[in-house]
Amino acid sequence: MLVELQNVRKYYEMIGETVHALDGVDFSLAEGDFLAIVGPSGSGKSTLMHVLGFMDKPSAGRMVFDGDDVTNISPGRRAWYRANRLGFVFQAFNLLPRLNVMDNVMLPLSYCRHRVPDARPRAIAALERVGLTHRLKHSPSQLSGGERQRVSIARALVNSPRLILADEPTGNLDSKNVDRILELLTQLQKEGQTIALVTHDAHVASYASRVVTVRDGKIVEDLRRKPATGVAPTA
Amino acid sequence: MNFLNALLNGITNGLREILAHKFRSLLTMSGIILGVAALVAMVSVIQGMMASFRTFFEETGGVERISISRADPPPEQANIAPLSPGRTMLDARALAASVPLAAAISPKVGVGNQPLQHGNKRDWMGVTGCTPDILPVERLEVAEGRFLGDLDIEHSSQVVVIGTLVRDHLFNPNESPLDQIIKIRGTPFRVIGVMKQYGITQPDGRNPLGWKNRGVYIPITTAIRRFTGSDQLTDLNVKVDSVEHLNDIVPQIENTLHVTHRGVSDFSVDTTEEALQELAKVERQFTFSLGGVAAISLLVGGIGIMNVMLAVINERIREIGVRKAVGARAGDIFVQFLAEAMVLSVCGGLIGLSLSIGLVTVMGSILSTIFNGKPITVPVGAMMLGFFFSVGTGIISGIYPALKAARLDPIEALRYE
Repeated sequence: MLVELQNVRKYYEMIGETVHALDGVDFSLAEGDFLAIVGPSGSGKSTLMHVLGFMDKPSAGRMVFDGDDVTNISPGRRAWYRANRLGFVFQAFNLLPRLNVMDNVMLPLSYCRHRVPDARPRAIAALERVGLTHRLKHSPSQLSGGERQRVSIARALVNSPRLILADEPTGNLDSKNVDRILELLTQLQKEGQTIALVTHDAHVASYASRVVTVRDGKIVEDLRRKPATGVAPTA
Repeated sequence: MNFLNALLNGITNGLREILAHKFRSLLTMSGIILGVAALVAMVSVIQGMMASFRTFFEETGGVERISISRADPPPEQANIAPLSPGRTMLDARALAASVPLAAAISPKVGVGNQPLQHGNKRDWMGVTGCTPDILPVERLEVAEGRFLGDLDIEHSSQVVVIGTLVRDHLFNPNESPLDQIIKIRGTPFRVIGVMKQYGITQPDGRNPLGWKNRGVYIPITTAIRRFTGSDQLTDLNVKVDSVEHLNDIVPQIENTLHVTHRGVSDFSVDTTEEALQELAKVERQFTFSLGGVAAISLLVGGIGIMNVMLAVINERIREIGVRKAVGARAGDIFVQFLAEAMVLSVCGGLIGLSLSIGLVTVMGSILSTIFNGKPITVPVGAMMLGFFFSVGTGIISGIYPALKAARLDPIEALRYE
C-alpha cells in the first residue's frame, strides 16, 4: 500500500465547539490506483485530501506512507514529502503569474533540498507529457484555462511524485476541457501514476478506478470500478 | 548550500518583483535612497572639510606654533590698560632674551594690500613685514636667492622676497626676478629671493595651498618705517623647541609679556593644541547631528520597506500557499521575503550612493571655494558605511514581514481570495 490511514481523526476548535472534520477514517490507497473522493461540501473530503497531501496533520490515528509512519513528523519533514513525493493540482490552477510556464513547472524542484542538475530537461519532459512544449516562455495569463491546468499537471509531475493529489481539477473548466484533463489523468494512471482526486461531480468521478464517498467525516461508501493496476481496463 | 540557493532564488524573485512594479518600488526605496545619500554625503563633506582644516593647520605651523594675540584686558585693569604699549618689537626682543624654550619668534606687521609694479606689470598683494624667524614658524622655504637676513632688519633695507604667484604676475616666464626692482606703493624694493612653490594647481585652476604662494615679505623695520609708522605688531607667533614643552612655555611667555606690557593682561597666548581639540569637538558634533539626521531618514526608509513588504505579503498570500504546497518550508518562505526586502533596500542604497556622489560633487565645489581646501571626494569608507546601512535596514525591516509570511498556514493561504 502506498498510503494507509488507521482510524484518522481531525478536530478543529471553533469558538468553544469541536468540529470533527474527520471522524475515524480507515482507508488505504494502492499504488497505481486512480481514486476519486466524492461527497457533499462540508463532508470532510477536503480535510482528507489535506491529510493525504501532508498539508494537515491528523489529530488522532495513524498514517503510513510508503511503509513509513508519518503521523507525527515535523513541519519541515512534511514539506520534504510535499516537495519530493507528492504533486498538487488545484481547482484554481494556482500558477504564479510572474513566472513563465517553464519556471512554474520547475518551481517544486527548487524546494527538493538537493540540487537537481537536470531541472530543465525534467520540466520539458513533464510539459511533453501534457502536450505543451510549444509554450515554454509564455506567461500563465497568455494561456487558456485548459492549458493552464495542463501546466499545473506538468508542475505536479516534474518531481516524479508517488502520488498526485487533485482538488476539483476540472471545477474551473468548460466541458470540452474537462474531458481533456480527465483523459490526461487517465493516461497518467495507465503509465503507472497513482492519483487521488476530490470532486463532487459524478461525471468526473466516473473516470476513476475507485470512488470513495465521504459524509460527516466518515467514509460511507467505497466502490471499485476498474482494477487498480494502472493497466487499461479490458472491455 | 541550500540556504545560499534559497537566497539566490530570493534575489532573483526580488528583482523580478521590482521590475514588475517599477514605480511602486521606486517609491518604496525613496526613504532608503535619501537616507543613504544623506548619510554618505554628510560623512564625505565632514571628512573633506576636516581634512582641509587639518592641511591648513599643518601648513600654518602645526602644533608647535603658539600665537600671541591681542585680547581685551580684564575689567579691573581698565584704569591701567592705557599704560600698556601693546604688542611691539620690544615683546619679540624680550621673548628672545627670556624664553629659552622658544625655538623661533616671529613678529609680523601686516601692511595690507598694496599696489605692486614691475615695468608695465601691476598687481595688488598683501605685504608682510617680518623677520627671518617667519620661515621656521610658518614652515616656509626659499627656492631661489635668499630670505631676509638680520642685517636687512637692522638696516631697514628695501629688499623683498616674493611668492611664486607674485613672480608669475609681475615677471615674464623666462625672466629671473632676482636683483630686479619692484615698486611697492611707489617705493622701490630689490627682489632678493623667491619662495618655494606650494601645492599643485588642479585642472580646475584651484590650488589647495595657493594662499602660501601669495607672500610679499619685506623687513619688519622697513614695514614700520615706510608703511605703518607705528611699531604695533599685527601678529606675534612663537615656535616651541619641542612639543613636550608646550605646557611649560606658555607661563614663560605670559610672565615675560606681563613685564613688557606693564602688568596689563591685554594679550592671550593660544596653543594650536586647544584649537585642535576644538576642531575635534566640532567634528564630533557635526558627525552626531548630521549622522542622526541620516539615521532617522534610514529608519523612515526601513519603515517604508516594512510597510510595503506587509502589503506585498497580503497581496501574495496565494503564492505563499502554492509555494508551501509544492514543498517550500517556512524557512524557504522566510528567506524569500527577507531577500526581497534586502533587494529593495540594497537597490535603494546603490541609487542613494550614486546620488550622494553627485551631491558631494555639488557641495564640494561650493565648500572648497569657501574653505579653499582640497576637492572633496566620497571616501570608500563612507560608501561602505552607506551600503552596509542599507543592507542592515533591509534585513531589519524585512524580518517581521518575512516571519509573517513564513508562518502562514498553507491551507488557509490557498483558500485566500
